[in-house]
Amino acid sequence: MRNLVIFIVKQHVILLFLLLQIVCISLIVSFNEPQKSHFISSSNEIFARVFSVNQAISQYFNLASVNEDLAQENARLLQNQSFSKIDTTVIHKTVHDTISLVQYEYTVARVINNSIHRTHNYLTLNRGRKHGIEPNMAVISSTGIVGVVTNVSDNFSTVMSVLHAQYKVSAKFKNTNYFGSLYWNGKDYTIATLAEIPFHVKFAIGDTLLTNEFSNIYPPNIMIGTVKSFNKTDYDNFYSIQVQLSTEFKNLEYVYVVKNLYKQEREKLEALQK
Amino acid sequence: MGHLLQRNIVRFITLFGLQILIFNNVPIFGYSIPYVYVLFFIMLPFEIHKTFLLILGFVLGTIIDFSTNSPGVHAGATLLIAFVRPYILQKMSPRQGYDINSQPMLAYYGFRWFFQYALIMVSIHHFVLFFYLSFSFEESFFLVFRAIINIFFTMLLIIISQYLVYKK
Repeated sequence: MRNLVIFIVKQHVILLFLLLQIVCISLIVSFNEPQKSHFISSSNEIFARVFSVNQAISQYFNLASVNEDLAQENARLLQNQSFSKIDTTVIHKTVHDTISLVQYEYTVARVINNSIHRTHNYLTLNRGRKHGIEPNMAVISSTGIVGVVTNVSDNFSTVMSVLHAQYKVSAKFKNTNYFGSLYWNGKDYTIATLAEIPFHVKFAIGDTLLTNEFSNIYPPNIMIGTVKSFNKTDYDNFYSIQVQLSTEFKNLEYVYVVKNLYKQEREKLEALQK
Repeated sequence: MGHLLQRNIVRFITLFGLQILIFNNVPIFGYSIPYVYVLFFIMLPFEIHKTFLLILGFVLGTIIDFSTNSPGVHAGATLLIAFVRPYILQKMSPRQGYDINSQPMLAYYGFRWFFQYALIMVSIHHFVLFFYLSFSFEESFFLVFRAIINIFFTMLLIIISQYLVYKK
């Protein structure tokens, strides 16, 4: 026992080093389970406030392009309004119960921290638990999908971006409905790879890819991107398709967090099969 | 002594502020994020206690981890350089030892000595960092390439800082 104490005192530097290194490695390993919530993250209140100030300054430089995006989206939404359409129906007594029909609710959030150059990219948003944000909610922008909420604090949340080595999302072709799994290759922030599309599926360069409801996270028919190029591999029966992402991650400023109101009902039902 | 402590605190705030607010967000040529905060560990006083140095390495690395969403990655790398620093300094000691009033800076020990010392520290830090980063990412060649480019830019900024800021 005495010898042990002497040994520890004598070698305390190396022992402390090993102990802390083990702590680090266990942090890294637990981090590799993507959907787990982590204490060390930028949704931590103090860091989020620092980023919030930083972002508040830099957002002025992007105002022009943000305005343009918003104007375009306004135009698109106006187009979808009922008064923009010709009414050709004859029966006028239909009751539009809009409350019970809403499946997805959208919360606007500002991106206060963003990265695109790492292999695991995250965003931090200025909305949190107080505003009804929960983990596993989808995040979209006016131009396409962005990612999924991982951590939530009272006022902020972190989002695992599509540009994350462990992120996968189900994508379908707009015209044929064939679906595959889309993931990022870790290099170019504008390109992702679509896998699991078998050889008999017909598509062309420029075809649009949309989200589907398989994940129970994204609303259906949200733009993901377009086919940029593709090649056949010799060793399996699937195409490898390069997809040009429609979201411009580099100047992302406002995003929508999507709440699926029927999520729990569906999860409960699907859990019965397991 | 109080003077030295003050200077290190100012250096800490400057380097970590620059790292978190600017360098982490502005990659050079869209690829390389120079980790200039390593300079803080390079320039700590010679006589700093080993145990304190280790704790400093772990805590300050964790601060960077908070800002980049990478628990344990930076902490592991800074912890390692904090651990090996006394041995490197011992190996690189000039014949008559280090002057009592001097600091590990280019202004005191010349370009050749400082460059070697900084390069060893930065290389160890970066290779460990990118090794940890690659745990879930299989393209190792790509990461080695990134690490080397990064070492280059970090070293460039560190050497420039020595000429611009830290004169004798």
